[in-house]
Amino acid sequence: MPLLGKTWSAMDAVYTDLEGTSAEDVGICPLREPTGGGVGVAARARMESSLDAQNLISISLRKIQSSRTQRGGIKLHKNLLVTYVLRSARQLYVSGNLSQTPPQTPRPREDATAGLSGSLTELAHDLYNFPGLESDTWQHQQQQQAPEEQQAPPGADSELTVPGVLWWDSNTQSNQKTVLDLDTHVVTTVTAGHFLPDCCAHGRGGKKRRTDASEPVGEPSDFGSVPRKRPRTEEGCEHLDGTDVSHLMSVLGSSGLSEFVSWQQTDLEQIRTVQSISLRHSGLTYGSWTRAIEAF
Amino acid sequence: HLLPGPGGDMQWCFSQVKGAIDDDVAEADIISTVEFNQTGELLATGDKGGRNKNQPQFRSEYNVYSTFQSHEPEFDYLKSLEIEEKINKIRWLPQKNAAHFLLSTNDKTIKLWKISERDKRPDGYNLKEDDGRYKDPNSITSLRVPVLIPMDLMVEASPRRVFANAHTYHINSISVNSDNETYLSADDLRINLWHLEITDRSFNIVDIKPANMEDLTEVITAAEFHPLQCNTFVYSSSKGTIRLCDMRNAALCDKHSKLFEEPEDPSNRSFFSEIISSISDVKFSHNGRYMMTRDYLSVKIWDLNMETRPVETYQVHEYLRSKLCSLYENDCIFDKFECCWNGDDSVVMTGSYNNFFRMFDRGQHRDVTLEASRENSKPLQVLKPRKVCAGGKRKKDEISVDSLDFNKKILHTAWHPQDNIIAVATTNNLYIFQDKVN
Repeated sequence: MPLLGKTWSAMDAVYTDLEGTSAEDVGICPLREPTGGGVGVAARARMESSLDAQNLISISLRKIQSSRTQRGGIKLHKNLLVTYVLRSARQLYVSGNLSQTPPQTPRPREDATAGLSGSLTELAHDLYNFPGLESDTWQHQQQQQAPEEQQAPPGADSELTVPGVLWWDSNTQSNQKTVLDLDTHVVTTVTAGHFLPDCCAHGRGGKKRRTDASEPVGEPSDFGSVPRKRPRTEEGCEHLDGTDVSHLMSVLGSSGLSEFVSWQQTDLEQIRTVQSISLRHSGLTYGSWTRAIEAF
Repeated sequence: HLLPGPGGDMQWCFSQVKGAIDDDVAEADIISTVEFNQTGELLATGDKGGRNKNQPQFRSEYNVYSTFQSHEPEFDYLKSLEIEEKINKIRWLPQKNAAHFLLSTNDKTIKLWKISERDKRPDGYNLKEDDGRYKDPNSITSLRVPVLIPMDLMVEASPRRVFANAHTYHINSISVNSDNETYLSADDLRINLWHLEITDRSFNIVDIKPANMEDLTEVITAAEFHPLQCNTFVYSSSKGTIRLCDMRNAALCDKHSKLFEEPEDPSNRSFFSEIISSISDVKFSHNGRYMMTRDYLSVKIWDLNMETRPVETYQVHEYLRSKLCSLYENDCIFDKFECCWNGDDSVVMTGSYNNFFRMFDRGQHRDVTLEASRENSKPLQVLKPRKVCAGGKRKKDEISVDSLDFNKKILHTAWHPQDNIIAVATTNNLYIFQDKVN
């Protein structure tokens, strides 16, 4: 483990402005008011705090991912705490982005009121929020925008090949989707898109791609599946760090979060609960949690 | 900087250190728990390799008494999970006869061990040779009475009970009841009550698992029986609350009798507020009137009669508050520090980083920071108080926050129940310090 001193200097570049020298510093600051005249200063502050939020999101997801491979199984306590950070960071990021663009739709119900429950499965629920759950077909959405462009042409139908991407959005009604590209570790927000997961956990007959939304199933499948690697899209995003995606994929192997989910699965009460709860809450979360990691 | 105590000022001196000297620490040697028995005569440590070491006291020195492998790594085939052999907690049972008993637990299984001495052996069997072979009965011409003759002291540890298969989640605490018949074990979501004699079943007394795991917002982090009232226990949560439960109220103690919670200071709110408010340890005072909790940055003393806020709060390393982001990144923010009381509940102790540990004298409102290091390990060398410089100009002998070694952490400390002798565990070394006057 690196000494804090080394870590500290590496973080300097990102955190200096926000950390400041005040003894009352509390780490990452929430979005601050513009300190000077003009839009430029305000935008910079927001961008920095967006970068911090992105960084925190990326770090947190990596922690969750690496906890899967730890000896002794997934530590529920630690992962719960990490999800708290993740949700706070995501909230900051999303609110930072929303304030940069005029809202397209009525402001979605604020996550803050939904609360930072921080549960793992709720996180998974947000990671894969399927707005078109009732619809029969899923659609790809081509991600063509650079991070600065927040507008996606509404109703765009073109094929989307998005390797190693995690999606989540702030609520079911919103047309906005926040995306973490695990190749570049850049978080972007896309509006008005639909999303197809790499593999549908609840696909019929184990079909992995573009399956119809099916009936809720009690158990996730496809643990053994290896996500098909898709061609990378052109990304004009800066790299926040040099983590190698192929390394991530090899670490994950093909089993996804099998320990976590199988641990959950074999808890008999959980199995009973799973079977009685709808897709959105249960099968979706298990499957989507698996998908979230397999999408690496 | 001297901590006044009964009979004058206390000066802490180095007494002993156990463990390997080199910096390359084997994972299995990492100490994971330290516990004195009720008389202070024995000191037990558990490590990540599943071993227990017991050291008896002789002329104020602790020497290895017995070492045994308490737990082995296991594999749960159903869940495809490896179960670590790391000892999470050790608790001694009060001594009833010549043998010593302790409970030792890893993530899933609790074991009751009997540690007994053997210093005599029988000699002069009629039917057996000395090496154990049976004699030809025809060769026996006379009878004699076997006698017990002294032998080199041998300490045997044998598992007497195995309490298994009662925890789905990771066990974080065990606590022996004052009735000496039952004990509790706590995992992230449940607390079970056991009888020491019965291994095939336990009684679930707390269950905070939500019907839908999506709704999970907190986990149990520590639990302890009241030292005097056998019906009372407390458990702490990851949200910084402590619940006191009375087993007489109901069979299932999901509903607490008291809830101890301090409102959060909104000016300190950050991304990491939830993490640093998570309680890592809870300990009753010996007299049963107070309890102490440890969260990431502070130690709090609660009066059992007041639920709204602690009566005392001590900052362990407040200078880390501005470094929480880095500490999150390198996982240090998840470190679980323990805390302990001294024998008369006047002083509390807890660990920190850079092999520092802190003592807070409740009566005198003074505190001291000391260091466990090989450099200060000459026999009877007095420990010099240390100081961390949080910012500004660093004085001589002070250490700046950025120079702290976060790999060197003291998570486990123990105080002798009667005397001023303390055991402090660094990563793989156990230091024993004592008061000079002692």
